[in-house]
Amino acid sequence: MVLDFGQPKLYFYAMRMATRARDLYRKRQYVKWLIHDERSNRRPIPRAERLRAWKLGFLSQTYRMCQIERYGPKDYVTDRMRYLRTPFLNGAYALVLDDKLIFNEVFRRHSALLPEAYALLRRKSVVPLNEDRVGSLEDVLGLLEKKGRLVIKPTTGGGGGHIAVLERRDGGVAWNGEVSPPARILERMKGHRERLVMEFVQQAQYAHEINSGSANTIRVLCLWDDEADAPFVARAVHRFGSPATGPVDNITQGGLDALVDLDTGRLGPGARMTPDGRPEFHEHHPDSGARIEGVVVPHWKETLSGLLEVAAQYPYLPYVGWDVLVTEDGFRLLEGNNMSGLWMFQVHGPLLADPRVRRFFEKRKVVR
Amino acid sequence: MRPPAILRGAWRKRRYWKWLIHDERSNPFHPGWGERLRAWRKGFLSRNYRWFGLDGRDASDYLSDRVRYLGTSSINEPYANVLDDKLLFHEVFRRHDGLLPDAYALLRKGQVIPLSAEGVASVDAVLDLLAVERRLILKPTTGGGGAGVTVLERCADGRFSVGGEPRSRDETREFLATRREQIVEQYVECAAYARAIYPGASNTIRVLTVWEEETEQAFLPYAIHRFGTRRSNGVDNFARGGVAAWIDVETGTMGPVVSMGPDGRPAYSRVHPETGAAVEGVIVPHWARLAERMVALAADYPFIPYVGWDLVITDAGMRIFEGNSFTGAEVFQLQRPLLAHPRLRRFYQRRGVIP
Repeated sequence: MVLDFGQPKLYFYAMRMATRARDLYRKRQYVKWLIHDERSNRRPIPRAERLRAWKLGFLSQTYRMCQIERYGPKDYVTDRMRYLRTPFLNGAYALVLDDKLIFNEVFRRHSALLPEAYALLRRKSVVPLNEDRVGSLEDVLGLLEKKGRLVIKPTTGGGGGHIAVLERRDGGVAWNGEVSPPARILERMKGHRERLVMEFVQQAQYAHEINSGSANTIRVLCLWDDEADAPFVARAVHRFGSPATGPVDNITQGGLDALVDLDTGRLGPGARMTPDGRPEFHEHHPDSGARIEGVVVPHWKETLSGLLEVAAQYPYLPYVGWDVLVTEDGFRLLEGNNMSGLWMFQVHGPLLADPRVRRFFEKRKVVR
Repeated sequence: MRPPAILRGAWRKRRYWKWLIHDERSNPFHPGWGERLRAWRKGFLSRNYRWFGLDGRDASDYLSDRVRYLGTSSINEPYANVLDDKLLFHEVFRRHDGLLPDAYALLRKGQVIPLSAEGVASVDAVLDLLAVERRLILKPTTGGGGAGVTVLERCADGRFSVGGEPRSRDETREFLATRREQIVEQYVECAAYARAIYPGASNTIRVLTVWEEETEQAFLPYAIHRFGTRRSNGVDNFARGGVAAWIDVETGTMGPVVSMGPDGRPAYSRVHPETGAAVEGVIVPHWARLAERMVALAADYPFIPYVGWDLVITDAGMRIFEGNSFTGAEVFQLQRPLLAHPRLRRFYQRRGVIP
C-alpha cells in the first residue's frame, strides 16, 4: 500500500504511530521489566484471571494481592501506570536514586543520616570512599575485623537482590549467615557488578524483636504537593523479613508489610503473601510470634519530620519511595527508590483515594 | 578485537565521534587536503596539528585528539554524569562549604524549582533576586565550552541586561520562562589581580587533577589561567576567543599569554593583548593552598579520577564553577605535551587509553 501523505488524516495517523513507537522505545526497559515480572509469577493462576488483570492494567500478582476482584480497580494506581509512567516523574535526576553511589554522594551532606560508604568494589579494583581508605579486598576484611559487620550492596538494581551482610565470626566470615574461610569470601567479593561496601546499621530493638535476621525498613512514599510547594507523605509501610527472606525484608519472598499510621506511628496488621498469592493479615509475626499490630514505631514524629525536611530540599525529585531504618536514637536513610513498588502500599487500600495523591498523579499525567 | 565488539564500541562512543567530526569540520582556517591528511594520520584534528606545529615533528609526546575524544572520554564512566550534569555536580559537591557558587533555582520550561533556602520558586522571584544580587549567571545543566551561559544583570536605571543586551522586565521574564533546563547561579567576581588583567570576564583557572589508583594518591599535573577578551563576550573560553596563560604548578607563576593567531598558529605575548596588563611572571594568589585543596578534593572522589576543574580565585578564596569529565587538552599541550609528564603517561597507560 502506498501512503498518501497529502491526506491530512493519514499524515496525522502516521505521526501518531511514530510518536507511539518512539515512546515505546524510550520505555523499552520498563516494558521488559513489566513482562519479566508477569512471567516470573509462577503461581497457578487461571488464564482468564490473568487476562482480567491485564485488561485492567495490573500484573496478575498485584491483582490478587490487592484483591482487585473483590474491591474493584477504582482508585488503584495500576501496574501499567507504575512501569510506564512513574519512572519518568523524576526526569533526568532519577539517576540520583537509581545509582546508590550517586545517592550516597548527593545525600551525604546530611550528616549521620546515611550509612557510611567505605569503598566501591569494581571489576578489577577497590576504590576507597572515605577516610578509612579501604583500597583492596584485604582492606575490606581488615575493616570487617574492626567493625564486626558490613553490608555489600550493588550500585544499581532494586528489590533487595544481591545485598549481602558480612559478619565476623569465630572460624571465618559469614556471608549472609553462611560461614566461609576468608579466601572464599575474597572470591565472592570479586564480581562483574559494581558494589558498595557500607556500614551495617543496627535497627531499634522493637524491629529486632519482630524479626532479628533482617533489616526491617519502613518504605515511605513521599510526593511533592505543588499547591503547598512542599513534600508530603502519601503512605508508609513497615516491612519485616522472615527466615525465608535472609538479610532483606522483601515481601514477595515471604516477608510481611504493615501499614504505619502517619499520625501516631502505630502499626496495623502485617500482610503476608500466601502460597497462592493472596494477602493474609497477621497480628503477630508468623515466625517469631512477636506482636506487630499495635506496636508504635519509636520517635515516629521526629522521623517523619526529619525525612520531610530532607525531601523538601530536593524539589526536583517529586516522587521518592524512601527506605528508612529506625534506630535506637533516630533514623537512617538506606536508599531512595525512583520506581517504588506500589502494591506494598495498595494491599492496605488504594492510593488514589487520597485527593492529594490523586492530584499529584493527575497533574503529571500518570492518571488521566 | 572482533567486529561485533568494534561496532558496539563505536556505537557507545557515537557522541564523541560526532563531536570529533564536528570539530574537524568547524576548523576556521581551511588547511589544504595534504595537511589535513597528515594530521588525521597522526590522530589529530587539523586545527590542533597546526596549533602544536606538528608538521614534520615527532608527535609521540602529544595526546592525540583521537585518543582524547575516544579514549579519555570514558575514563570517568559510569560516573561521568556527576560532572557532565551541572545540577548533579552541584548536588554532589555542595557539601563542601563555600566551595561552589550558590545555586538558587532550576529553570525548566517555565517551571522554577528552588534549590536553596532563598526559595526562588517563580520567574518573578528570580527577577527580585536579581534586584538584590545585581548579577546572576544562567547556566545550562548540560553542554560545555561555555555555550549557553548567560549573564543576567540589573542595571542602575532599573532595566535589565541579558547576555549584554538591554531588555525590559517583560522581555527578561519571557526569556527566563522559555529556558529548557538552566541553573540560576550566583555571579562570582574574580579577585583584583585578575580584574586588573581583564575586568570583563570571570577569568577562570582550569586545573587538571588525576587520581592514581596504584598509589591511592591524587596529583595536579597541569593548570592554565584563562582570560576573557572583547571577542569572547563575558566568558573566557579559548574556543570562544579568550586567551590563556600557563601556570607553573609548583610556584603558581603564570607564563606568557597565548592566543590564536590569524593563521591558526599560536601567538605569544607577555601581556594581555587588549588591556596590555602584564601576565607573564604574575603569581596566582594563594596558589599553594589552592593546589593542596584541589588535590585533596580529587582524593575525596576517586571514582571520577580524571577531572578538569574550572575555578575562580575571588578576593575571599576560591569557587569551583564546574568539573569537566572530557576536559580539553589543547592549551595544556602548548605548555608541555601531556604525555611528557611521566606520571600522567603512566596513568593513561594503566587506564588503557594509550598503549
